[in-house]
Amino acid sequence: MVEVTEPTVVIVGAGPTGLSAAAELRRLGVHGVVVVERDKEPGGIPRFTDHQGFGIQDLRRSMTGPRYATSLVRQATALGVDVRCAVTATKLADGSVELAGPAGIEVVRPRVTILATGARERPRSARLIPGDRGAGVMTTGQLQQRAMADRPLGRRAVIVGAEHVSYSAAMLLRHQGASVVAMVTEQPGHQSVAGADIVGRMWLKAPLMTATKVVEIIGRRRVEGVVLEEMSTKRRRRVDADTVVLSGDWIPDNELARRSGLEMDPMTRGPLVDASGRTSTSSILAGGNLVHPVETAGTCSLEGRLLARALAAGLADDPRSATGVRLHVRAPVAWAWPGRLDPTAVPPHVLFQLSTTTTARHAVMRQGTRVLGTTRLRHGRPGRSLRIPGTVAASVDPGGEDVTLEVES
Amino acid sequence: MRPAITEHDVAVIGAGVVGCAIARRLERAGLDVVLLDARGDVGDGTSKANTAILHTGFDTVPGSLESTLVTTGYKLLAEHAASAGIAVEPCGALLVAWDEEQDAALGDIRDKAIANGYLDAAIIDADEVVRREPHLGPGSRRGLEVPGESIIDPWSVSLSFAIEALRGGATIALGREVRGVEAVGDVHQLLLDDGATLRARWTINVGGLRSDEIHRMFGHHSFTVTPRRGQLLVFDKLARPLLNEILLPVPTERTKGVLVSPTVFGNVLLGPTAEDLDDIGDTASTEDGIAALLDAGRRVLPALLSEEVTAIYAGLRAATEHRDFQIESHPSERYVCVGGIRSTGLTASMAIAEHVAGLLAVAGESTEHGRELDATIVMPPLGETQRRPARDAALIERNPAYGRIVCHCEQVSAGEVFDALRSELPPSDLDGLRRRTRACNGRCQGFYCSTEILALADAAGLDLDPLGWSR
Repeated sequence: MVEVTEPTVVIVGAGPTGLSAAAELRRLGVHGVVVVERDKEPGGIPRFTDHQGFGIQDLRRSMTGPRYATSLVRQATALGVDVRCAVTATKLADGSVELAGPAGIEVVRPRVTILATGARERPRSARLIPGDRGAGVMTTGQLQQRAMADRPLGRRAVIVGAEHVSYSAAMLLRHQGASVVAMVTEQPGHQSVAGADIVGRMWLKAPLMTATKVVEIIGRRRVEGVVLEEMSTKRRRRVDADTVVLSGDWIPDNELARRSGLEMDPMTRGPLVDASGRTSTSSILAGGNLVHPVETAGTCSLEGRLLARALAAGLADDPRSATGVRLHVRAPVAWAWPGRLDPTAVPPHVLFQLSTTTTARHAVMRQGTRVLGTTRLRHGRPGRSLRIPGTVAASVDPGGEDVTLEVES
Repeated sequence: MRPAITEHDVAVIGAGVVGCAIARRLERAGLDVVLLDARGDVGDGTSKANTAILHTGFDTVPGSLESTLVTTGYKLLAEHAASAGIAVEPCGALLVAWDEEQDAALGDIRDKAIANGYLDAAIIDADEVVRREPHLGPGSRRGLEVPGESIIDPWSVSLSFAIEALRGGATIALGREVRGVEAVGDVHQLLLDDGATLRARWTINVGGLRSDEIHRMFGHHSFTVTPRRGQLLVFDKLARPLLNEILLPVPTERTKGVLVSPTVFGNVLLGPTAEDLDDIGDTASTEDGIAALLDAGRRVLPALLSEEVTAIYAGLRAATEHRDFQIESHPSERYVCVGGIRSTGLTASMAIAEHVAGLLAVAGESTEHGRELDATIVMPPLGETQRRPARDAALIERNPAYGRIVCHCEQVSAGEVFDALRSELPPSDLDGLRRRTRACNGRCQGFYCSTEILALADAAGLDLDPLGWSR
């Protein structure tokens, strides 16, 4: 049985971006706001991140991931948002969204669809790590879910990556009584907050191995160890471990976006958007870690509100697609958001991240030879947020050539 | 206490796709069959890690037993798959030449196809090759089209044979390894690893990588197995639009080449490598193997390399020093050996089973089709072009569990997982569940669903967690 109903806005993904966008739309008086979530619980990734630090940016107090997720859900539902879980958006075409779930298959025709499908950590196969296929290799997300389900985690772990999420994995493992025999990163240093290495060494007893990569996993039934290569000397050695946690290395969950034919940004691998979340298709917006893999839950939540405000203001008119000037990046800048700059949609900031460590100290945005803005880099580490005040977007010539973002000494 | 001795008409050693096909065929002849395997599941060795192609046999050695059995097996398996609802896509294949030597070889390959009784292979010019496959890398030349080549769900084939054998009354003994053989009167006694003894009037050795070892237990030394490792990369479903058919390499004197093929699950397969090893358990992937595959893939389909790899695996083919299948009947010993089954074993499986039934008939055993099953088996629709339960509104209305998607990447519903867990041949580990349902087989490799799926298994009383159940 196929039913046709007509909400005003359908948001795909009940993480921080989707829930905050939905709540804000309701606050602004928009009716018929539906959030669909394919998991059986709403809240997104914070649900599994059981440590403090969530909510500071958007809810003005610090709480754990699960509490933060609950707060966002409560806020949205209290405002009258219809949050539907275990419902998958299977198709997006011609302004219609096909939804599949235990209640059946339904096609809805909202005015606007917002994609907020988030990002995932790349698993072993995508990282092309060779070796045996023994059990015990998992992403941080899997590790967190196993911990919450009271499933065994192993006793000696190697963590691949040294980002925030990697330290989160190390804390969890230590808390569960496992030892972290190494944190391994190909970078020359960790990518977390200042002092993370000291905390890691002293408290987590997790030695950080920089400029090192995992070149093989050993163990046919169960992981028994990994072979590490010191990248400068090519020297290899084996480290015994029964668990390998692959942390970070995020990729947007972009299948729905790609299958609906949205123009994609080759650098973020998410849809190409302007600061209001507009995409190449007028009825589809996109935001959150789908378009910048990845920023904190708070950044996503605030961005969700921003999208909602722009959308509510423009709902009276026909929605339009993103038409701003393209923002390109030069290595070692990995990606920048928004990929289209539009002087009528000025973002609070231009977000960007690096792909490798740099000693450069400034980021410069140019349109042709004209410098739009320069900012001091807060750090030179990959996988961590960097930003330029969004006012640079206001000085973009909408009829001019593409804008570039690069770093310079 | 001495374990009980069980007695059967036929013991089939090895529950790969060929062993399962033989067990099913002999069970249908009214024989009491026991199907043994050292592993915990059927189709869990060489059969699970192949290129999943239903071959026409166009490139087999004309006049060989393999040629005959592949050609016959192609038709038998296509019919079986159609009736059992096993996914098959008749997408066809295109051999693409990339240099003069390969270009020059196309004519001979077509002639070989004709000698094998396959008349539909045709050479197409370079422009047509690019028109058919616009994503090919630069430098492609002429091609040879083989429209009959198809892709198939390889896992459901083994399972369907085993389940049909079970329903016919066969015994399937998994996790039981044959350690020795002794002849007692006119029966064979198989000594198993747990100390049990099993008696059978006939023994069929379909031991795959261990078939030479079992062959020696019966006193025969006609071949030696050399495990030939084939590493394969599986690319994300988003890569599927990059090709319209199986892209086969043109084999030359120097190299056999690797193929790029769609799968019935909607992915793209790149491989295999071919490395001779001496360890029948070494299914590791290697840096060199992965690099070689990526190099080959970059030439054939450059855009493939910007897509994510969702699985890397390696299979071991039971290669021997002989080119052909090694099927031997020793009627006086009531022993049949089915060794040296190459990568065409999946396609040939049902024809090999018919052939073995024939060998037993020659030896005086009645192996005509006797029993028919009460109902034809219907396997779960796992193919991307089939109607999957989560897309079937009528089915979801009857049972909402089919609308509750637990594995998002592969769109597998809780209902399908329940069905697999409660089936007559349930999985013994998470990989077994993957092969039965596709759950955890997608791009996230279980990040989203593995914990929930393990909980469903717990509830069904099966411990599938590879890391153990309790802390």
